[in-house]
Amino acid sequence: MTAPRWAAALLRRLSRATGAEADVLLGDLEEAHRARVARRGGVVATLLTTLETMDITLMLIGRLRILRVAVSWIDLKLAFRMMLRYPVLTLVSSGSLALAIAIGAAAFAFISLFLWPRMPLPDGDEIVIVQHHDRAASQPESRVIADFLRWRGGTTTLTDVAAGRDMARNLLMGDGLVEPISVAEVTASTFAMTRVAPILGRTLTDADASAAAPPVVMIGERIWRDRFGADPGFLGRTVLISDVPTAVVGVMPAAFRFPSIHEVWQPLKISVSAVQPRAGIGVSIWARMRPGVTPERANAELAVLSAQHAAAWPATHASLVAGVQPATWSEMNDPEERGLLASMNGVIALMVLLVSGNVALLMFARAATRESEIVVRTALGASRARLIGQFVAEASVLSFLAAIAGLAIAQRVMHWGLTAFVLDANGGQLLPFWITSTLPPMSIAYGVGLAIAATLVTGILPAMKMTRGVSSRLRETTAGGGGLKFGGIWTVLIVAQIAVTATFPAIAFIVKTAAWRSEARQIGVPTNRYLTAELSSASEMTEARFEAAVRRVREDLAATSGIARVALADRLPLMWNGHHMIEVETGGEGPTDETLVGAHLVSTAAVEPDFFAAFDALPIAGRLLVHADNADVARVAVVNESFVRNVLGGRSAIGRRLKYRSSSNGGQLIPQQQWIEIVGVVRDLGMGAPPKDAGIYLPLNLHAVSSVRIAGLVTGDMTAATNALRASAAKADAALRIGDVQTLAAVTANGVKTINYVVAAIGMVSVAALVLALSGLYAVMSFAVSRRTREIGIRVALGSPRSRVVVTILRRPLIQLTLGSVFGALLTIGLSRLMELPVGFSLGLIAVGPIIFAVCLLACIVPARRALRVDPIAALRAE
Amino acid sequence: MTKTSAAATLAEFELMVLVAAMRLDDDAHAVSIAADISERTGRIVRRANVYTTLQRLEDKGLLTTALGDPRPERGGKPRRVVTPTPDGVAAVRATMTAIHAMTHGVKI
Repeated sequence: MTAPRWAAALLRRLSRATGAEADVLLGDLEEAHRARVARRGGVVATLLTTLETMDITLMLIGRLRILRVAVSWIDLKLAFRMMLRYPVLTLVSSGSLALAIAIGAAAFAFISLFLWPRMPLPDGDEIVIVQHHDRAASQPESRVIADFLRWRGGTTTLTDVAAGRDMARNLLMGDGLVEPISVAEVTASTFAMTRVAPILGRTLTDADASAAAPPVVMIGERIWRDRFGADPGFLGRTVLISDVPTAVVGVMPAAFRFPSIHEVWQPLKISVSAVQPRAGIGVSIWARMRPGVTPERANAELAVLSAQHAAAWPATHASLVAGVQPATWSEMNDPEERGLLASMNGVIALMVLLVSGNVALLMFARAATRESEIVVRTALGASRARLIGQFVAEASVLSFLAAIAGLAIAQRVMHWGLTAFVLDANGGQLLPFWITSTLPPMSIAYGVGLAIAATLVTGILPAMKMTRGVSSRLRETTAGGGGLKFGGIWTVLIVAQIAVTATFPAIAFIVKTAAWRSEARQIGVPTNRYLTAELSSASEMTEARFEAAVRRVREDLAATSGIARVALADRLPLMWNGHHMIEVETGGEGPTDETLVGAHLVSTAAVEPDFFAAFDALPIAGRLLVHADNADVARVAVVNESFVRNVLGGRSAIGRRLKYRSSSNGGQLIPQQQWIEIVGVVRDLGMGAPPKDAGIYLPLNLHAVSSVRIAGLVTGDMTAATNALRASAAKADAALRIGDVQTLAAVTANGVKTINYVVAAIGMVSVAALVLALSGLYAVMSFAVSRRTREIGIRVALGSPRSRVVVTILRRPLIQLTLGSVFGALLTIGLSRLMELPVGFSLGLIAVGPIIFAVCLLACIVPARRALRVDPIAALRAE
Repeated sequence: MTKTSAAATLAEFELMVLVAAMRLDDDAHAVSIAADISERTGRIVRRANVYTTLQRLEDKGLLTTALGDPRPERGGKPRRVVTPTPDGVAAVRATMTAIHAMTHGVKI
């Protein structure tokens, strides 16, 4: 492994400029890097070498003649004084940079978490998963207990080899409450491999895994605290795990959820004498690579060992080969998607550079007002390096403050982002334990790197421009002209910023309307009084046992006082039901899918007959579902009013037949390619996503599903009802899993909360975009006024009305504002079209444009007032 | 009262760099000096600081440097080997004497 190539190129270039010996510096870098690789592994070594290269680079820059005069304390003191003297400018500049750094660091952290996850365990990079692959069948193989037993003593490249599997079980607390849990059944070596000690008690041992050993369990700190009140005398107590009394022997720290989301660990019991090659239960094998071993070396050894196994067990292992992979897995495996996501870093870095350019423009505009000072200091003997040092000091103070604020914001954004992700994409389930909301060190380093880049752009660029050819400008200035020019590239930049600024509120509004729609949905019943839960079968349950257990819970709940009506369905009202493609026999008149003529998109729910009564839904036409409809394959259906309106165009539904397209992804519940008769119509009960809420209710077949939702109307105390539901589930069958216990109102609330997170994020970006546009405009105006003070003076002296002076000054920003607003409006219309929003709606959004226009105009007021206050005599005398 | 010699005294980091160079003898170069200081003092040593200090000590005539042979563990690149001059050794001695004189009799 060598030092990064870019580091070598950078050092060579700088060494040429400073007279340093590039070969010696690179040799030192190489030597130190190799020592680090041997001691701390490749990834850490590369990070440290990168930081060291930056450090040495800064040292070499310091040696450059141009910066020989280093930034002194006096420069920093002056910089602070300048910041206090121009508070608005300081606020705008550091605020823009802080937002840019925050977005950059948070995006980098998110991208790193999902593309390059790392195991947060001691020397976690050494932990790998050993996977077997059948080359002939081209599929992975998990029945590898025999292979594990051969390797468990370790190999020359791997140590602490462990095995385990994931089991779905129920944890019954002492108070009668049941919690569905993912149990990791693991070998004792797992804890030696992960090098994490329990906070209480002991880890599992090999003796626990023997067939005769009493059942034991280790639990996570979160369960210990939340469910057992962090009782220190908890060890040795018995809990019921899927009906089996099990003694608790240890508590693991909350941050440890190995192998991914697990908080309960039990011994993996293997009957060694009965193990046959490539037979028995499926397991995962993990191991720790010995120090200094690379994945390539481990794979080379495993290839040899696989060949030995193939020779020993030719019938089963001839085409089986093992290899190591990181024990963390990425959520994203498609190389194209990964490349796209990684390139986002580049886009964000570019955005930070653009922001820095904007701030550089501001600094430049301010520096332009100090041109005389610079000229005088040069005349008095100040070197160019001295003047540049002053600018860099000012920029570094700004960037420093921005970096601190930016990283704090990024940390907050990470927290928000992951919470939204857990709520939305992950359905409230825990994320793998390597995904945490703490800003990783790499992303802090990235944020600091962005701040350094910002310092260079905002400090050195204006300084170089201001101090170039000062002597010739001294002559020009005294002759009455100005030497500084204002580049057209900034105009394009500002127009683009205004356009984007005008579009962001529209995006936020479009997203927010989804939340409003969800909040506004009424289904004619008090949703906060309905208690709901998901009942699902554990790994070892048969279909009949599951059906019997669910029926027992239903009857038990119906008999509970304080609960009026109980219903069973695969999806309850207001839940996302998915869309399915159907055909209607006699042809509907409503909107059809453009690519499939005669087909309609509808939502489907499978319900028991008591569902409609539980939600106060009477038949509008025909009849409701009855128990007699319940067959292996659905023959009849009830539809909702939206279906009649949108699919049938208001015509009578009863007796009409419909058929699901075979391409529909409906699982077991949706009958494929078979006619179903509509027997009744009910009112809308919150199906699908509005406005596409046409829905079909089919009879629910309990023995064809592995999970079902139960709902009950609570007339008494909600907490008592919740406890009764959990207790009923525990009593019905110890293997029945109960989850998502919440009110029906909470189902909507979670979705709305997620949307609000997204709206808040877009809102933040909108504010950032607005601040950027304002700072750009302010800079342009300030610059224009400072450069044209003399011209304004002459115009006013010659009797030009003040209004005309203002128009002259405002012409350029007004053109930019108008262009920006027009482009913004076009973007908004495009977006509205894309989201299929009505024309009136997009016109409403364009109304945001003038508001942005007016706000941006405010940024021009301060410099315009300054222009009007110019005293003609003073302006002429000043030159 | 003990008299100190007329030789130049050194700042703390300069003293460490020179002492490390004396100890490492023929193996004294920026990487080994930084590692030696880090190992013995437990401090995080920035190699950029070592380069700057070596440059300053060479400018003061307290050490000399010479290019070594190319080495495979350095990707075939040479080291710049550091040798303290007699003035450098005298400066170390003077600094140490001054430190001993100041700390003598003081309970630390």
